[in-house]
Amino acid sequence: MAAAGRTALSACLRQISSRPQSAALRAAGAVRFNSTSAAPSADAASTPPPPPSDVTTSAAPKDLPPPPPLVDELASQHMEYEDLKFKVQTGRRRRTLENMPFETYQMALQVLKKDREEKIKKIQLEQARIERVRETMEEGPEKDTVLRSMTRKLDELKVFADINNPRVKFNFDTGNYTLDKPIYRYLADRKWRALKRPTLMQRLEQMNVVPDIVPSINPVADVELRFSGAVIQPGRILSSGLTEKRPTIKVIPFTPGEKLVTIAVVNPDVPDLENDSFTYQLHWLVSNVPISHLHHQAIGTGAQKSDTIMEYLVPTVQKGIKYARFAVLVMEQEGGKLDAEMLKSKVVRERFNTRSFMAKNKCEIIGAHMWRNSWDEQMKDVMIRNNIPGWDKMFKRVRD
Amino acid sequence: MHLRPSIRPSLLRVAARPTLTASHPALTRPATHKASRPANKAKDGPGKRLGAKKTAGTFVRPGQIIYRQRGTLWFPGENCDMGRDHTIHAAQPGYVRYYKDPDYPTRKYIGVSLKKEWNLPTPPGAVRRRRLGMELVDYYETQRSKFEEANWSKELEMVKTGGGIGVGVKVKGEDGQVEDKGRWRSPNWLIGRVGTKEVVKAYDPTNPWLRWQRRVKAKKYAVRMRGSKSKIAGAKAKAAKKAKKAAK
Repeated sequence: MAAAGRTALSACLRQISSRPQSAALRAAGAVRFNSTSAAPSADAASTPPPPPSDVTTSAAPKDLPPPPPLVDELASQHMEYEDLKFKVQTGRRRRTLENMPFETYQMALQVLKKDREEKIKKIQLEQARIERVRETMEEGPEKDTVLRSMTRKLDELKVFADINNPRVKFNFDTGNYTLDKPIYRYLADRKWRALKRPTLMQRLEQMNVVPDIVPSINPVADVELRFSGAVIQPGRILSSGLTEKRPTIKVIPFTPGEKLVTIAVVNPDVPDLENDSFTYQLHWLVSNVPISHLHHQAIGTGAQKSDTIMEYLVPTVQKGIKYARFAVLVMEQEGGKLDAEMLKSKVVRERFNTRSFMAKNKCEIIGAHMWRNSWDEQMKDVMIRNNIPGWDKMFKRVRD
Repeated sequence: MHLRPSIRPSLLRVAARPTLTASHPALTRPATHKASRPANKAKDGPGKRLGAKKTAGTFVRPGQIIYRQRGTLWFPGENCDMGRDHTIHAAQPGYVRYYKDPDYPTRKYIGVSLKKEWNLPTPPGAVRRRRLGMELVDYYETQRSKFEEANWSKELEMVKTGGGIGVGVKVKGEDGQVEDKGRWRSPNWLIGRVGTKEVVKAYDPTNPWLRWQRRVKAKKYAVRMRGSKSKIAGAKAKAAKKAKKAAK
C-alpha cells in the first residue's frame, strides 16, 4: 500500500515537473476572479505571496520550472509549486493536502481539478457574454436586469469552481481567509446563516424589538458587538459597569463593495409617566461609517473616520423596571453621505422615532444586535458617576 | 369444568408421563373478574371545570383568570400571562380578546386590549401598545432576610477584597461559598479537593491481620534503623579483623 502510494506521489511529482505551464494553468491565469472588486491591492494581499525572486535567478537549480502566475487561482496550484521547490532544493518531500500519499485521494484530486477547469471555461464564456451585452445592448432597465442576472450567474460559477477544493475548505475552517474571494464570502455567509443569524432573529422577535422599534428586519450583514473586548451574545442582560463605556462594533457584509452606514442604539423601554406608557430614547447615533467586505471595523480601534451625531449615553435603568432593551441598528445609507451638521441640529434624544429617521434619511437596516440592562448593584454608582438623574427614585406597581 | 388428575403418585414415580397441570392452557379457567391492579378504573371522573372564565369583551383586572385548560389550547397574547398549568390570566387591566395571529396561523391567542375600542391582533409591524402601570416613589433598599443581614457586612468586605478568589466575586461563610447565577456553591478550589481527601482507617487491635501487619512493619523499621542481625554480625567480624591487623 505504502509502495503504491509512493509511486503515485512520484508520478504526480513527475507530472508536475514535466509540465511547466499547462494550457489549463494558463487558462486559470487568464481568469481574473475579482475583476469587479474595487480593491485590487487587498486581492493581492490575500493570495499567497509570490516565491522569492532569487529562486528563479541564481539559487534555483536548472530543472525547476518558473512559478505559476499568481492571478486569483487555486491555492493548491501554488502549493504544488512550493512542494516542488522544496523537493528540488532539499531533496526531501513534505506532506500537504495536495500530495498526501493515498492513491484514491490523488485520483479524486485529479477529478476535482478537471471539474474546475470546466468551470473556468464556463466562467470565461460568461464573462465574454457579459462583455458582449455591455457593448451591444441598448441602455435601459432591460439591460440592467439582464446584466444583473448574468453577473449573479457568474458569481455562482466562481463559487462552484472553488467549492470542492480541499485547500479552500481547510483555509476556511482554520480561519485563514479574507472576504475578497466569492468562495469565502459564500462560505462565511452560509456559516453565519446556519446559527448566528437565526439566534439573532429569535432574540429580536421574542423580545419584540421587531414591532416595537422597526416593523421588520432582514439582516444581511453580521454585526459583532464588544464591551471591554468581550463579545456579546444578542439579548444578554449586561451589568451596568460593563456598559458604562461605549462598545466597539464590527459589521461584516457578505457582498463586495464599500458602504456608508449609520449606527443607532435605541432604548424602547423608557417609562412615560404622563401617558402611562413607554417611549424611546436615542443613546448613540454615528453616521457616515465606511465599511466594506474587507474592512469590518465600524467603531473602535482601526475604524475609519465617521461622524458622531449623538455621543454615547450610558444606559441606565431605574429600580422597579424589569429591564430595558438596547437595540443596535446598522442602517445602510442608500442616498449616500448624510449631512452631519444638519443631523446634529435636528436629531433629539427624547422620543426618538427610528421609523421616521429611516424614511427621512433613506436608510435601510442591513444588520442588528441587542443587549439588555437591568437595575443591579452597580447601577446607583454608575448613575451618580455619570450625572444621570433618577437614582434616588424608583418605580412601584400601581394597584389596579 | 374442572378436571382432576386421576393418576396415583406411585405410578408417577415409575414413569414420567406427561401430566396435565393447572398451568396447562386446557385447564385454565378464563378470568371473569380481574382481581389485581386497578381492575375497574373510574371511567368518568369529576369534571375539572376547564374552559373560558371570561368571555370576549369582558373587563378584567391583572391576575384574573380568563381561561383554564389542559395544554396550550390557547396561547397568551398581548397583556396576558400563562401559569404553570397553562391557565391564561390577565397581566394588565383591559378587555378580553380571543384572536388569531397571522404570523402564527396554527395558534389561537387570548389577549387583553387596554381600551374598549382597540382590537387585537394589531396590524402587522405596528408598535405594541403597552401600559406602564407604575408610579414613581422615593428609592429605598429592599428588606434583607435575617441571614443576609447577619452576613451583609462580611459579604461586602469579601466583595471588595475579592475574598482571594477574584475581584467582584461574592463570597460568604467559613468555607467561602461563592455566588454563582443566584445560588451559593462551593468555591472552585474546594471542589477539586473533595474527591482527593485521604480516608485513614482507625487501628483495630482486635484484628489479628492488622496486628500482624503492624508487627512486620515495626520489625522492618527496626532493621532499617539499626541493620539486620547478620549485618551486625558481619560488621562486628570486620571490626575484629581490623583490630587483629592493627595488633599485628
